[in-house]
Amino acid sequence: MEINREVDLEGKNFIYTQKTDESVRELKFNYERCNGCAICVYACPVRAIELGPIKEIATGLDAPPIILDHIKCTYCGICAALCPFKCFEFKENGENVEFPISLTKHARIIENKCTGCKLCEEVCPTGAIKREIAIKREDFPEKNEGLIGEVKIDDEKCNLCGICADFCPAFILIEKEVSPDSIMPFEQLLFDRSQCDYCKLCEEVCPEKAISVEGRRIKGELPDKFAKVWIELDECSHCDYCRVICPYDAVENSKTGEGRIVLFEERLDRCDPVGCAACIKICKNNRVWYVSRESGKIAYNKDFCVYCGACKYACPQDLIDVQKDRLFTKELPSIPQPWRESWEKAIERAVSEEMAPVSLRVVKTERRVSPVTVENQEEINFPDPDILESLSKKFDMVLENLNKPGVRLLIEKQKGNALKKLLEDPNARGKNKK
Amino acid sequence: MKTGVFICHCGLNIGRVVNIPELVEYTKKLDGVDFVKDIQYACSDSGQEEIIQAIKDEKLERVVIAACSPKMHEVTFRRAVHQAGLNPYLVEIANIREQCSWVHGDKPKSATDKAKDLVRMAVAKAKHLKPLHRIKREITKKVLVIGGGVAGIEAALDLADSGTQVYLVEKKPTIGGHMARFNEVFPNNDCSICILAPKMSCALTHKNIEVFTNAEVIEVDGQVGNFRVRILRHPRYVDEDLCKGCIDDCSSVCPVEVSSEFDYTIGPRKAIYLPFPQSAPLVAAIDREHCIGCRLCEEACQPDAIKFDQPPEEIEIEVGAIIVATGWKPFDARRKEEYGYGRHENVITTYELERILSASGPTFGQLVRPSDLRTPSKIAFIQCVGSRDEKTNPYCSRVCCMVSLKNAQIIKERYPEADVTIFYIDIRAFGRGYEEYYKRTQEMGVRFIRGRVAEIRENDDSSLTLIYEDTLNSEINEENFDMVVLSGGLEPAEDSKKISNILNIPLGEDGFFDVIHPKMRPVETGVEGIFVVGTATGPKDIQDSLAQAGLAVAKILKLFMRDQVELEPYSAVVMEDLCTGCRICHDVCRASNIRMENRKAIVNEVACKGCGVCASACPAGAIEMKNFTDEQILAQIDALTEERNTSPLILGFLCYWCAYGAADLAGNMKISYEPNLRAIRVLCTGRVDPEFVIHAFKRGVDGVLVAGCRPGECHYQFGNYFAEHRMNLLKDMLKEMGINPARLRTLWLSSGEGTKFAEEVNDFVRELRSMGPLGNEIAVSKGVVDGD
Repeated sequence: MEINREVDLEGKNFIYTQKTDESVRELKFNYERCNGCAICVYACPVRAIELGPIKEIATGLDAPPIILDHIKCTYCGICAALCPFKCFEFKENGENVEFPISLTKHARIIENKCTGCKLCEEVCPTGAIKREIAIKREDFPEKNEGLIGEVKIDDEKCNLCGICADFCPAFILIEKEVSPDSIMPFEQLLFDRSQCDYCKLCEEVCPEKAISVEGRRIKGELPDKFAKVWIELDECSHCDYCRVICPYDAVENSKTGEGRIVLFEERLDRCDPVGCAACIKICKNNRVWYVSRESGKIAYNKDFCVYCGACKYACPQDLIDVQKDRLFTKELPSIPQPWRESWEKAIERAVSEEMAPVSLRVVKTERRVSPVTVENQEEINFPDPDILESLSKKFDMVLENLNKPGVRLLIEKQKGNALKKLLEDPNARGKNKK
Repeated sequence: MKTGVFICHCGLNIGRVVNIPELVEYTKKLDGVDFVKDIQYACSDSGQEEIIQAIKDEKLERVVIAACSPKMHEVTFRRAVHQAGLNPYLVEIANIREQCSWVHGDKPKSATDKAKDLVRMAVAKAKHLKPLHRIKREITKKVLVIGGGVAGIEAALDLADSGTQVYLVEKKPTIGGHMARFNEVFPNNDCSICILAPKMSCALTHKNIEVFTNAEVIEVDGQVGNFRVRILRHPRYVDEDLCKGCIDDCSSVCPVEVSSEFDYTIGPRKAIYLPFPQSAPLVAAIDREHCIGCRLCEEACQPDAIKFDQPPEEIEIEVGAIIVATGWKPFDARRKEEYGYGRHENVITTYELERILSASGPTFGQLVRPSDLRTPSKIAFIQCVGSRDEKTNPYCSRVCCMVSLKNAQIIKERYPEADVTIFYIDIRAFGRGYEEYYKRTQEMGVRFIRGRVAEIRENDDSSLTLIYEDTLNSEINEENFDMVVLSGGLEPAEDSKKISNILNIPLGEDGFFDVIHPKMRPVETGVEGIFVVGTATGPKDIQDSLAQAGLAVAKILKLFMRDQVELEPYSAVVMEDLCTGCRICHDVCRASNIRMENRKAIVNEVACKGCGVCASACPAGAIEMKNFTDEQILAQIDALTEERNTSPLILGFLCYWCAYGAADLAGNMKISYEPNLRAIRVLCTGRVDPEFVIHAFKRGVDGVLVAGCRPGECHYQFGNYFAEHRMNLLKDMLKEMGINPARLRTLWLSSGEGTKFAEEVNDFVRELRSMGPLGNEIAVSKGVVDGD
């Protein structure tokens, strides 16, 4: 059976393909999304994946964090099944494959609790949260002309969810940088009187009833929900930012692993978080690391960590250790197929960070039987008919001799004159002997 | 007499090399062939059904099947023919797989020509086949044998031959145990697999033995005479009936390479694999531990034998007695850290050395060291690694001294220049002839140093420095070696504890099974009806293990009361009217199975094993060897020489046990060799009547090869010696006639020497090619033809 394996680069995607007469397997690797966490490196059963120059990549080099050997690769899909950041797409004959075991992939917005606010979308590090605003002020054609009213925002009630600002340009949110130690994306809500016509719709839009307006309610219905919000699982890193920030407990999320982060405090003086920031940059999918305001040194918030381990490999000073306790997986219910055990072991290796074993030493040599001829180069030779005929006469004599018990006895007793008797002309002397 | 020929494609195994449509057309035109059909897989249920149906529809009386080796499926086809209402012995097999398509893959045209010759010869023999009858006896009792090593197989075979139904449960995908992997075994240095393989295949095909591989016993209850046993058969993920054992198609695409436990980890294998080329059953297995689910094997397998959804299977049986033959496991030499096994590349274990020296091992028998694959010139053996050692095992493992002596001898025989040193505490050569064996080893120039090696250091060039105390000279020395072999001891098998719990039979402190009394009741356990044999009760050599197996069998038969057996009908029989009463047969039968009555010879057909030494000495042609008669063999020779499809044309007489097995093994290993040989199978080279050889030359063959077991390894004890002196005489005769005596070649080899077989055939072809056709030498000497 012929097997062809190829690799191709398309933008930020490496595309590895294996073709046989019967099947095509395609493994697409998005290197931009990859942070070099090395889970696939350890999980790969044939050591086809190597970690790239991850320290350099973390500090700015544009290179793929992992390198996959497309000849060694078995196209089993373990890397795709276990990648926490969905950097791989694996297809067999153009279809997605259901893996026997894969990393859990659970996060969702609970619709009846969600108000459609902006917070989760703002804090999501991977842009996995998608939001569709149902209505805005400008969708209402009516306007209060010349009306002077009053708008009051109750700061006690306002949670800076941002709905009012999305709805009406009269509200302006002052953004601030999201940091693991302070995840609120906004610090203040301002009101621009010049944009307001005191239509009172904002009163109804605000889920906290924090806005009160003296004015005149214009005509028109507001929808039940201000916006539709959902999580695109193929982009989600399960970091938990959305769940933590949501004021309405409207998010469910399962992390993909648990464990511990250990920072070598004693050696922290070597850390240059401003100049280096390798850990902060590499943790682009989860945003766990930040510079502590108090110490000026690096710090982390474990609430957002999935213990992938990327920071450990990125830190040029080796100040970080990430210990995985486990990865959360789900199994396909089926008869255990022969590869179940290997997949389970791959997960164990990803957790314990051990490479797949290689045979210690393999002794093998080539067999050495060399052909004498090549097909079709030989001609068929026949014995010379005259010689064969003369030989045939001699052979017949021998055969006749073999019918004599005396000759046979000499042969079996290994007597010296057996040969002579065997070659004797039976007609010459045979008769008188009998 | 209506004869039908069935030609098997074996998927692509035969079909991809041999032009089957051409072969079918050719066969149709053969004299006396009435019906020809090609079948995708003749051995499959549907294939057999086609054969049965054709026999019935066409009223066939003789059947020829051109397929794989008779060692593979002769029993299957006999059964099929029998089902069709014919006598099971009216079928003849043409081996066009192991001895044709698998070894001539690079020469499809020559392979097709050879297949034609083989079919023509088989058809000729088939015309002379006669109905034969096995001697039938009733069977009732059943026995479970746990463990398919040599002791378990021996016990199973003995029981089965007595008419007892046996279930043989083996945890691995093949039976054969350790012995199947060893190179040669002391004290007579037999090729290990050659003396075991016939027993393995016999166990597998024996109608009274059901072999469960990949299986383990999980529950036993009841009592003597009435045990209920539950067996768990793990999936091998390959359908045993569909798999053809070709192994290349699936394993060559498998991307997972691991070190093979069947090579004691020194050689590689894939996640889909055959444990070793002589595996029984010859069926691939998928290793659950390493398969990663790429599914390429599934695509590559032509007969669709891969079954990923195979579930585990539970089987319940009832037996009257149980034999535990679970054997041993090698000591893990990593535990002796000072010797660096696992760290120093060129420190290997004695078991790995067995595989390296084995002709079917990872190096095809070439002695090399792991670091550079070169032949080491200075080798040290260290004895008592994991034996007689308070830190590991206090007991003596009994066999390791002899094993190292044997390996030292083999290395000295094959590499006389090699410097071999054995470091020992005491040499324990306790058996009959063993002390002499020790002495012989010394005389061969092997150096013995008394003392334990303290440490092995690895040098930059991968050589090793041994630091040791020579206790005879009271010196501490250092010495360099190219390779070190650790003579690791024997430890209780992994599952001993589990089996002990399931069967409720105790283990001793050392972990081996206990028996009631080590001297007086050496194979009986505390539970009546359960016996332990072989190394399961402690280290012992093969002969002691077999003796125990035999003892347990005797005890069980005593329990059951002996029932009945059935024998192959391949005996000699004297045709009274032709017998002249010359007594030669009586004299040559070393088994004394021929007696003279009223000046006529009479064969004891039950005792006769069918070597044929008598028939090939009979001047009157009065002895018929059933299924290997004179007229059958002469018909094969005549049929072969009717046409000439190759040059030089070689006729081979291959003994079924060794040479035929080696030829099949060359096939299993896919070793290409020259396609000039046409083989006739005989049970023993002792069957080769000088008449056959002369007849063949008379009919113009260019060379004759007579190949049998190595001296001392004949399955009939002396057959090959008879063959040798007869052939020597014929060589002299050829010389007298002016014919080059090298046209008659004898070859003595073991069934493990597939590579050697191929090399010999090539060499013979080369030699005959230089001589030209038969009689050319006469022409040259007479000046008829210019010699070139």
